[in-house]
Amino acid sequence: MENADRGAIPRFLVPNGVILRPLVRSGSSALVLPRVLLRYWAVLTALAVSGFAHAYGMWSYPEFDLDEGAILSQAWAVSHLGKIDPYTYWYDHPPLGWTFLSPFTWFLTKVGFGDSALEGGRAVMLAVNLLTIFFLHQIVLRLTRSKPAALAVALVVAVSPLAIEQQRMVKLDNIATMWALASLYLALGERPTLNRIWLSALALAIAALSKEPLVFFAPGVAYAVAQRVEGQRRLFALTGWTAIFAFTVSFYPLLALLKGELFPTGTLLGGNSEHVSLLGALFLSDRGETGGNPASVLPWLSTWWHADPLFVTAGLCASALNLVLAVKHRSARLAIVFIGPYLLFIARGGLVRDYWVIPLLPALALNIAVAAVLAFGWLRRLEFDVLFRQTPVCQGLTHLGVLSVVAMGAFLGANSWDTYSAGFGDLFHEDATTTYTQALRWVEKNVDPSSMLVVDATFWVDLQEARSPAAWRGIGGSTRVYGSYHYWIAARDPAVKNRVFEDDWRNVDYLVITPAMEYDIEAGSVDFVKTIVDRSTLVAEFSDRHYWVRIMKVQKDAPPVGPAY
Amino acid sequence: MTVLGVLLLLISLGLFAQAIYSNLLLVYVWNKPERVEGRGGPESLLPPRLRFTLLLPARHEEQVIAQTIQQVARIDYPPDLMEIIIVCERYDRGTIRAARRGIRSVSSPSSPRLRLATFSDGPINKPHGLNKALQIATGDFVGVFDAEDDVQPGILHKVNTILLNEPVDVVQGPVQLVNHESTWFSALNCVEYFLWFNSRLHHDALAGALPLAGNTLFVRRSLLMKAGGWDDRCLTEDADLGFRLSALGARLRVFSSPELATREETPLTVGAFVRQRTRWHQGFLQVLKKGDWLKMPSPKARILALYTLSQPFTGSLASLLWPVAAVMVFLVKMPIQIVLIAYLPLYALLIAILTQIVGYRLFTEEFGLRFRFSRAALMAVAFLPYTWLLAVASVRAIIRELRGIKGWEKTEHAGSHRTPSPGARIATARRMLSPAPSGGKRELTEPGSGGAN
Repeated sequence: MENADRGAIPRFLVPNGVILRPLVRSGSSALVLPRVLLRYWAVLTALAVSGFAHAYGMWSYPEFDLDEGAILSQAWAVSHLGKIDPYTYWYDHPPLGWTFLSPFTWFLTKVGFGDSALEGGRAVMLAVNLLTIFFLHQIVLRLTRSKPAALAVALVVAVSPLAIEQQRMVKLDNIATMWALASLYLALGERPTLNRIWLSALALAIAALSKEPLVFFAPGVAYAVAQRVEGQRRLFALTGWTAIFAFTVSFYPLLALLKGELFPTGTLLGGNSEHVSLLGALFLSDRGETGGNPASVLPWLSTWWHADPLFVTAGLCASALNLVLAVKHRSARLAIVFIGPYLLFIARGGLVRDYWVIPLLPALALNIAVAAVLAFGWLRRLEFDVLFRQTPVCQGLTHLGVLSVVAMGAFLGANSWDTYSAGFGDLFHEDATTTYTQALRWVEKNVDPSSMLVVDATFWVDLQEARSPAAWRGIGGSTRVYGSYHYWIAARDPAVKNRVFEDDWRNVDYLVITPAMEYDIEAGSVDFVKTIVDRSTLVAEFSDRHYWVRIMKVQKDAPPVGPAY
Repeated sequence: MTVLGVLLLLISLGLFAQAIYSNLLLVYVWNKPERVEGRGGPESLLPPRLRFTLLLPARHEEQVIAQTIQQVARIDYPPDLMEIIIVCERYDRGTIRAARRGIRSVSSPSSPRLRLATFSDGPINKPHGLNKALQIATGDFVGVFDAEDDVQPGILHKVNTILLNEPVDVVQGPVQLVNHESTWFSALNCVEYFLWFNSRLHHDALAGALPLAGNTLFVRRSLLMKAGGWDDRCLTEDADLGFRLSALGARLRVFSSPELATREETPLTVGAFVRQRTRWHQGFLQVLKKGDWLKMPSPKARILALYTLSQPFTGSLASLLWPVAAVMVFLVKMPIQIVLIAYLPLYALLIAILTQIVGYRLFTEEFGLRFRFSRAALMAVAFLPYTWLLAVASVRAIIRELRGIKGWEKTEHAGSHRTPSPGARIATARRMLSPAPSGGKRELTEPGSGGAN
């Protein structure tokens, strides 16, 4: 027993009568926690800060978004109806994102978590964000081998107002980004096994099947695989990675092909009967509205920059620096290959959305870390006396460069103080969701369950939950099911507009209108809804400075009137 | 869901699981870098200390046996630590004459001890001959080579080092088919061997359920005696021995390196290939029926043995079900989720083909052969038909076993593995010393499975 305790320590080194015990044995669990804290303090710190910044006020700000409602509706359809969409699935996005979300939201709804389904969804996003921060920290650690850099950039993302606001929302991009980072994390292991490489391919495929633009991170992760796996194994690794990624992603077009919905109506392979299509959704919809001008990204860049100028500036500068350093440094090459294709994608001149910045945030952070570590390494190696012995021009340029960076940082910091204080003020103190909850409660209390409602997507899941499961049957079919319908679906999905509502405004009882819905009504995108609005009167209104909800009752006997709101 | 839907779902998931697991085993060694680095065994060699008896069973091998004797006698190892026994059936006079000629040609004071052993009792087959030779063997370890083998001179030094370094009882060395351009299926056959000896057997040895190959194996003589030698009623006496030794708790070791691989040739006609595989598959059925694998110490080893022995049949069933699943996908109306799952086997098939092509790239690279994209493309096209040949062999094996036909089906060899390929960089000097045979057809009668299935 004594020898066993002493382990590999030679006996002559151990004083007589002393029994050495390892610090932590399986039985002494009391020491496990301090050891874990000590060993993983950096990542735990990053997670704690990120968790706090994300969670504190996440149900109050920002206001609930239409997309969040739509995604939760689809997650609800997966868990309650066994379908990937409550109505006609029109290939808005691949379905894995909300399929992943569905068991969690189902569970939270089951246990009665929060005031609404959206709050449950945002709670899941907290977990997703923590995993994202964890993977980012580990990736930077593995790529730069610098603990301070890993901690620093994890904290930069954790406290970025831009990141916090976007990551709080139930967005497919958040889920997909987590999977993409998991993929890179798996590929960046120390001499990774092929099993890790297969999982990396699978993780990135899940990312791309959660949100299609994430496919642009494939070159970066594949390049990481090529960098990390050497010799004979590289051929197996790259072939296997590519095959597993491509085959898994191909299930999406295969699904469309099998349903006869790959090619758009009116094309040679699509036939002439009216139907939704994957390629139509990808290429022929409103995504080309900007006319191919790469400058279309600039307004968004400006929006993102205004939300967090220091982070965005540092990230873009670091990416540019990595582009130069890539000539010589493997880590810079990987960082730029990781972010490059996605950057080119959003600058392609097509449609860009504000939340498309979500995958960019960790990629920018990665670039900051790599560039900073390389720059510090260079500075550390630099012999300053040599620098001063150089020609005056060299000295001048060096000094100018360093001064410029310092001055730019100071200038940005000083000028963006107000931006940050306002941003953090909103994030932590603003209440932008109570109005929504009040309106929801009003509808639940005052509207007869057998009514037909046309609503903003944010209300949909809770209004379904308020009904009996028997009423769920038939949702998405062509029969008339009493309940609530997304306004977009009511106006644009022929299965709902023509068969459920029989294209008659009298078959609608109530409208629940929000700013996003009003925008589409005024833009003329949803004429059927406008017809209903014109024949309705306001019965309740809730508002604050961010958001409002109007509940309108359709006047079935009234003659047509002008806009009622 | 209809019955057909459930059936398609089960077939698809089964095919997918089988294909993925089989592929994972084929790339087992490349999964971890340390496995790739360690697969060749120790780099630095220890001085020779162990004594080996090398058995060379031969029947109707008059054309090549003398040359093989010369090759084996030139193995780089102290002659006093090496004993070679050529085993022939007593009335196989041609082979005996050729063997004596071979023995005379290498006999000198510096050559190892060479003996010719004959037997006249039945059954007249390889395992029986090996058992006879085992009775007079004196070495610490007994090694086996086939009469047509191209044996590499450095093999015993490596085996000696492994056995001195590690507490093992059985060492399986590498065997490789090399005539990858002889027929439309040769490259697939070569890659099958390459992945089997370089990866799969490493996994099986660690798991404790190793189907030994018919040659380049080395077993502690005392253990072999304890096991009762080879089973002369079994068509794959080599795999059977491996499982019986595994059941006895033998410590197993596999190493593979291109420099030391014993070279063989692929069958040159579809008929010869199917007959060879029929024999192997029937042998596996016999081993399965005997049930020695049930005595293996660990459940993991028993499950693996069951998988290995049934793989020719499950794999064949899979290859026959692939077209069935493909047709059902189109003909049977069923929910989209089922149809998507029904596509999984197709993806598994594509992954299996990619594994073969990557294996082919590595095989040609390691053996100094020329990699041709056209050959790789042919492999992709030929993969499924190749598995159908295996399926035909499985069906024949089952029929033969049910009818009680236990005789050996002969495999023809043309010695094409002894023709140096352009650019071959390994062991060319030895080949120059020992010219290749004329290439005429001859017959082998021993039931060695060669290890791959």
